[in-house]
Amino acid sequence: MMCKHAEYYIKTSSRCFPVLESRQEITAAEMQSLLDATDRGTVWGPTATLFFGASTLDEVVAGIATEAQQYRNLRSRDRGALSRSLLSDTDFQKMQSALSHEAMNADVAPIQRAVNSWSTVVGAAGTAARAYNSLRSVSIAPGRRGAFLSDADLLRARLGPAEVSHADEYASILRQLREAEVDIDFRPGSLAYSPTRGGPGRIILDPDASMGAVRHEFRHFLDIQEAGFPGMGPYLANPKEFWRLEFRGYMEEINLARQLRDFETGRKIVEQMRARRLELLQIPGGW
Amino acid sequence: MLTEAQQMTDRIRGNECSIEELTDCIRRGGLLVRTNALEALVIHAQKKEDLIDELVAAASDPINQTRLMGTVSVAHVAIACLLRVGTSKSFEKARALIQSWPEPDRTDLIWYLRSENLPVK
Repeated sequence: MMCKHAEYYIKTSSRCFPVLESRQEITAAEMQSLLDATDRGTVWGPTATLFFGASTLDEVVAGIATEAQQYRNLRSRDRGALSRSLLSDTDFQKMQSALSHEAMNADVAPIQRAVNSWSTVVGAAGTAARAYNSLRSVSIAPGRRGAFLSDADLLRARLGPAEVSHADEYASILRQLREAEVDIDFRPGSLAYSPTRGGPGRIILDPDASMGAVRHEFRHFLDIQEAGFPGMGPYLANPKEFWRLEFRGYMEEINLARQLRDFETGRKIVEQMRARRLELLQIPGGW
Repeated sequence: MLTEAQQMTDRIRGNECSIEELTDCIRRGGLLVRTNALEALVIHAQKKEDLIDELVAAASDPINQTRLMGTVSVAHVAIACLLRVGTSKSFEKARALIQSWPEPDRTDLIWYLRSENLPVK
């Protein structure tokens, strides 16, 4: 199942064992699971070294740079084979969960910078980038960059940034927004579309937003554009219309989760939508 | 839920609520009811100065940092209401709040106030 070049990554990940054993945040069961996965060759070198293969952040950063160079040296066909084998492996998914646990206890800022640099290297590799970015999103644990984003963008853990997972659609949306003269502000940790009366309004996008989140905000823009850019006022006066706007935004995300057959995330988005409904529509003494 | 929220909104915007009902809505309502009640309080605050404190309290209450639409929060609307009251006290309170607002939310607040054609200085 694994391509021959994966052997290299198995070897590189093996150097993480002593450090892995010293980490108290990982339970014995999780550690055993990781070790078993590594033995079977399902742990990717960069993945392992990113969080487990070094005792200092400098080592992590240096390790990522080294891995990136080695990855760059692979032929593109082999990169694809490696990535496909990882994506189809359930152990890889389990690994992500364990990594998430570790990422919660790490200072992710230097790692993030290194990962951004690494991502540029693999960005053209398509599937490989998707595989890596799913891990990259795991590294941005809830609370590290604000609860707003982690709560709001539930598809990011699955899809990674829209710029990578749906590059053409993402570029098309940005082009349409620019042509409509929407004020676009890229701001890590935020997702929002704010209307203005008589104008195209303003969109705030996390540079790493998932396609689900981007479609959600873009839907708001399209709906408000269709209404003739009336500003916020008419929506505040009309809870039914306000809710219709919100519902259509959430449905973009839910439909995408359905397409991916990611029903667990879909259910979470529905819960998020229900919480928003209550938050918006509650009246004193009601419910 | 939707119908009741609509009915309450219609009552607030139709000036059918007493000041007590409006302040109750501001303290206990959902985002839309709260926002509409704040806007309805403006006309009363122009005549009853102590209601300005109600708007200041709403602008400062952490619960009102919740996003209403886009980057606009209920607290932003409360500050817009202070500016719409248009008295020297309300301007002074609004100015102090804007100056103390943390970034990047302050940028969003100023963007919203300008989009509503309200004086930001």
